[in-house]
Amino acid sequence: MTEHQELRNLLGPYVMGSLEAREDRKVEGHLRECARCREEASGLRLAHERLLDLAYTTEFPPLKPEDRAVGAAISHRQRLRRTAVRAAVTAAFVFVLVVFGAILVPDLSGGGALASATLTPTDLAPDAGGHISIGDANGNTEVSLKA
Amino acid sequence: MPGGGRGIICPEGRRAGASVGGPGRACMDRVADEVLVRRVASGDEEALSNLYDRYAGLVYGTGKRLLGDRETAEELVQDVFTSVWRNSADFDPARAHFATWLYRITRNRATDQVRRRNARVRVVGREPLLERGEADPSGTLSRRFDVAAALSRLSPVHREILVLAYFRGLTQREISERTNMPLGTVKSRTTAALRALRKTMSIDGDRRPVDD
Repeated sequence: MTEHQELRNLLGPYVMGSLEAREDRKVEGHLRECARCREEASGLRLAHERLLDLAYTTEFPPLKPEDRAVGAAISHRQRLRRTAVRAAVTAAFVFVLVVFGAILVPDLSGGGALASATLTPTDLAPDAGGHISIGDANGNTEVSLKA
Repeated sequence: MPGGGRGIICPEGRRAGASVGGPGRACMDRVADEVLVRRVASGDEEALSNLYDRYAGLVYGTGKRLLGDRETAEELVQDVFTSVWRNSADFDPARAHFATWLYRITRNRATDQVRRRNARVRVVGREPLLERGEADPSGTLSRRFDVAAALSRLSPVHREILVLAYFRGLTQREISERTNMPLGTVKSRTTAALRALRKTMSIDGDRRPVDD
């Protein structure tokens, strides 16, 4: 590695004021002679000053988002999502039962027999429940659903 | 060191054992801010937490300077990140960097808080502190967010060395001991990291503005 390259590698700590006196003097001597390194040092100094400014401004707040309002917002959105999923599962469950019932109606009502089923909760839809019954009403099929 | 080694870097204690740029789900992941926002929009809390780690310190520090007290600055942080959580789907990376978007939210929320406070203050006859549009006349605040964004885009190795030096206040020798890197390597990497930051800031500056 040439001396130029070695000294160029020290420009970061140089603009930060982190070099020992001996190295600092060597870099300064080199900068007097090398326009490229002067330009480089100027760019690095700008980055250094911006970082110092940022570090001076940055302070960490004592609370994490889950601790307060953000946490509440997250919980709210999660609740909404869970409610939506449960509603969708319940609706799908009921829909399947209705379709299934409608298919069976001719057989069940052919002999005038009543059919009924109780909707029970599942793991995905723990709040689901209700009752479906199928019967004959004056020659028409009557489906009654309470969900 | 005002940041106490925290802020856009991992808060100490929260990420025990996760060195800067090290393994694990450190906040130093190289996932771009814009990708994290997209994940937030799909309900990923971890992504929000990651953005919080990167920027809460800056928002808080900015809040303290704009609003003047710690409690209101804390409210601002909560306000801003609640807003990020709720409005992440509206963020358009084609229009602005995340940091620029976050800066605007911060500025607007801070201005709202000041206006609310001024409304109360006027009752007892004092002068208003700040009005909308006056939050950052010199562009200094905006620039800090840009620098934070540029820092978050550096490679983990470069970011680590700058974070240790600027936010944790370590000397080059202390960084060498802490990272088991030869002192000479620390010095040359510090130079390379500052150079990379300078370059990233220039690139960001060039592509900035639709929105700022």
